Amino acid sequence: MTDHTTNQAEVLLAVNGLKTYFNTDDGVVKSVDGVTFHIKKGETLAVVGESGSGKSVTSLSVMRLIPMPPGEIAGGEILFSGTDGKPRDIVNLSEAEMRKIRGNDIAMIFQEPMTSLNPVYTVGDQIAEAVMLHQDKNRKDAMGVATDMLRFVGIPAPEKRVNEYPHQMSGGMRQRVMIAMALSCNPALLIADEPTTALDVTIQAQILDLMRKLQKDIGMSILFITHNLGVVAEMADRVVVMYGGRVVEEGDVIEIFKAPRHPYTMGLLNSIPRPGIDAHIPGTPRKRLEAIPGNVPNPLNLPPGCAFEPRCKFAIPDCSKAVPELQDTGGGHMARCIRWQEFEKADQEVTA
Amino acid sequence: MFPFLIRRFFQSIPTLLLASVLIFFVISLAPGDFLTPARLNPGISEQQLANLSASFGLDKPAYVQYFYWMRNMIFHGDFGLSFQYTQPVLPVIWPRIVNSVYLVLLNLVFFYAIAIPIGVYGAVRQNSFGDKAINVVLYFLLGFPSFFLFLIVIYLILNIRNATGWDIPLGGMTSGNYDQLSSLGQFWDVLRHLLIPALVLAVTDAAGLTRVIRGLMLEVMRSDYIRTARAKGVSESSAIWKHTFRNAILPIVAGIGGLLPAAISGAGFVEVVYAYPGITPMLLTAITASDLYLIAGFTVISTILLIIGNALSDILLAVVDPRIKVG
Amino acid sequence: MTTATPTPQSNNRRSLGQSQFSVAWQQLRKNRLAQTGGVLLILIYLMALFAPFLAPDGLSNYSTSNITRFHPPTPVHVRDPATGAFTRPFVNKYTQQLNMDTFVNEYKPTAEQCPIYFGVRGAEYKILGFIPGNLHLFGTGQEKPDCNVFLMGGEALGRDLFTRTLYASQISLTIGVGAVLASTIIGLFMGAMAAFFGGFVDTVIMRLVEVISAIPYLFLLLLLRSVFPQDINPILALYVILGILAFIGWGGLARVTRGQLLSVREQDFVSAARALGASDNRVMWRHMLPTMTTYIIVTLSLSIPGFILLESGLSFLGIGAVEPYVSWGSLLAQAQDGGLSSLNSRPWVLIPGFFIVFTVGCFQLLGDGLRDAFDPRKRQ
Repeated sequence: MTDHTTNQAEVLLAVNGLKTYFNTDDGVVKSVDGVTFHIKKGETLAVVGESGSGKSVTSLSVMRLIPMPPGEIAGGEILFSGTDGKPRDIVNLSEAEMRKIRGNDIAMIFQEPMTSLNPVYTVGDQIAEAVMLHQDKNRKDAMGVATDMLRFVGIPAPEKRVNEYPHQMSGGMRQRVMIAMALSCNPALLIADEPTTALDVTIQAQILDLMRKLQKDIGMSILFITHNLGVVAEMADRVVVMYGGRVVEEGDVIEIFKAPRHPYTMGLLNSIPRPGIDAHIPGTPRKRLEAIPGNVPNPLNLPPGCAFEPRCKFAIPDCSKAVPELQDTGGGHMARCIRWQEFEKADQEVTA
Repeated sequence: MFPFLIRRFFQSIPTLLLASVLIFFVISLAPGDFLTPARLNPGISEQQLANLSASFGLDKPAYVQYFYWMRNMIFHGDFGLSFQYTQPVLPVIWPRIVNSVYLVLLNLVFFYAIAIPIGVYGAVRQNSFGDKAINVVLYFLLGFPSFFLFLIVIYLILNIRNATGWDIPLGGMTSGNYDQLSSLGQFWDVLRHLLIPALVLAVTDAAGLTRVIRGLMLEVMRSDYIRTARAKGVSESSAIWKHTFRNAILPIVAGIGGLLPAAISGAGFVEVVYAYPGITPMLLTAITASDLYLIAGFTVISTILLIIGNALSDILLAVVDPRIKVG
Repeated sequence: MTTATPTPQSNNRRSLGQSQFSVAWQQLRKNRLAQTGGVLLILIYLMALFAPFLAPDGLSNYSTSNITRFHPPTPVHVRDPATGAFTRPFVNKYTQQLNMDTFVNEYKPTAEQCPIYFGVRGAEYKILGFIPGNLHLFGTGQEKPDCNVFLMGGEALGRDLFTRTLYASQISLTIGVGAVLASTIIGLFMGAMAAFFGGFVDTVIMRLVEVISAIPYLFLLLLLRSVFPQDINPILALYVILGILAFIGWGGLARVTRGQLLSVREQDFVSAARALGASDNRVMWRHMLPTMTTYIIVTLSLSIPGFILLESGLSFLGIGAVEPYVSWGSLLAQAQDGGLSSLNSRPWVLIPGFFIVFTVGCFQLLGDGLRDAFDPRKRQ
């Protein structure tokens, strides 16, 4: 099933059957319920899903930043191969060992650049803090690193900016600062949790360009959390689609876009305009965009079978009997749908 | 920093002027004029009365009297005559004000020293047994009038004294042998007398601030930048103190100035019980004796001190919060 | 192929067709602590109302022949000391004797028993000022005049502290609440004036608020009190204190009212009412002020404890309730009688203070419950 058993050397992070639950007054919320995926070295993996699908909780679980209580990692393992190449299970690490990994081996940037920087310290201080924590440097050298990092992420006049406070900067600038902070210790893995959602479209493109360029320079892996399929197409090598706390489809980005095997992925793809794929033939009626009907299910009260069944236009009675298995549809492409073969056949008929 | 101080000073002038108008207006409401009680006092000579009447323009309309009063205060430092003491007001009240300031300052130190650790603890160990127990105790203490809690403490001290023979001070500011002590001994003697009233005052009020700090800490802990800090790998104590507390304290610093009037008033009750030579006991006797210049003097000077306190807390806030521009 | 049906959403059912108040009431019903506070408050107010009946003695009754200054509390016995059998509750009669070594008047119980009767006739009173009566819940009757039950001991003049504490609740429970109500009305009025007239009126009122908050409230209180003669009519003194408390308390509410009204004024429903030709008065009272109801209820209930504490403090200082009226605060003042160092010989004089603590605690619980009930973020 997963690659980490076969070619472990290449795999940087392998998440196996991860379960992250939240104990609330109303019951246990299974935000992440048995999620499995992996990231290879130098690869960009996009995790896609609507809000509430469990993608952010998954990324926070990898960082062990889930507030406990009410949260808990109820099962599964998160194997991370650090600098020595030996996979270690993050779930079982002590808090002190985990702190050495955070910011050093795995760094994270967040959705809200406006609120993600501490307002009472200069950006230089905040970058230097990470450097001093993980590298044996004094404050002066660390501030030097901070200035270099600001230059590296394309902030003009870094010598001046390094002594400024977050409120003196724009949103795009702050996200660059966040990236500079995250990359200051050369992490092996960067988790980017919707890093461009809160930014203007033009700034979004700049930040994405920057991330791609930096990835090439440093050679890190990126776990890219997003709900924006446009961003996925631009950034990712492989895609994991999540729904209701589970992975519903996983595969190569081109495969997923060309031949989705799960109705939810199809729904997502149909809800965005794709000029390249659905090229408009002059003289024919324009294809309409489809919205997925209904809402994300209440995580307290998931349907017994396939979580997507109530909204699925291909649903059959069997769908609500049991949670479908994640099945290999060939070439590392996997889907959690009992009818994927029928979709494959239908696809072949169309192309034939 | 200096222009900020100047600006802050000019901003407080209207408040001060209005406060003085209000104080003067209230005093003029009293039946008779300022000298009615003084005329009944055989210790004040006709000559003194005539001088007062002239320098405060008591034969003139009320608003002119106000200007005389202001002129005398501002340019001559003359707050009038205390009829009880037959002395100028300022030298009579100044030592009392200084004593009260000692008590209030020590009280504030205890106040924050109690409320901050408990509030932070409550936020870090939210809903733990300790958090709940402390909250219940403080909530209960909130219902105690400070003077009542103080009476209970005095009752306990009396029993401890009787049982152990320890010399725990029960009132006043100094011991009988104060004059014979060395300066260090004198300092310790005053501190020893101040400890219990300051502590009792701090404890009765701590519940409010503790809750505020706990709430602010919880709010900041949920903020994105604390998550960022943790994602950097900072230690737990650094996440709590360097990142969370440093932000949670900002509204508290902003509130110090607003806290002072209540602190001075709260200290007043305890001063009475403890027979502490502060403002309030003297003010109370002044009221019984209708010693109006004395009352006005106390109110004006404490208002000035409060406004200075407010300005200081603004400056402090500008120091700790980079988003506030100084200058 | 089946068509998908959207999953029904269950979480917005509650908000349908319910007023803010019924939602708040439901929330309050769930809050055990607030409920307890409310019920206890009702009980304590009933206690104040029927204080003359519950008390064994009259407010200012004391014997001039047998002065029982700081008489210790008399324990109530239900067993006969001789036989050990249950009997009618009784207290022992006490004698007093001056200890010639310490010059302290000492009380000693004698073997003589004073039986306690229920429903005895005693001091005359009028409940609510017009229902006359002389029935008391319990007492030692009139056959033995020197036989007294002192549940909480006696005070400086030998009057029964329990009786006086019950009577004191009438003052303590009304002055604070009355002052809060009065300051709320002043605050609303001033805030509305400032918002409505703007300009000069606004400046004056807001400056006044600022100035009042700049002067330490205790000194302002004392200053205001000093305007009135020391020896005014005791009943007038109560009103004076109520008025002074109201005067120093209205600032915060006025500021909030002004801000709220200014922001509401810009909202559509007010413009709509104006467009329909509603008068300024109507707009103010029917459309703008009602937006503040929740805030007022919550502030009101949360500021009552502070005012009760303040009233007790002023009475303690001797400038609140004065003889013949008593409040819990003025009862505590006798703890200082004859110097604090003798406090441990008569600790029972501290008991009235616990009534303050209890009442304030109940108001706090209720106030916090109301605040949470009206706060949408705290809904369960």
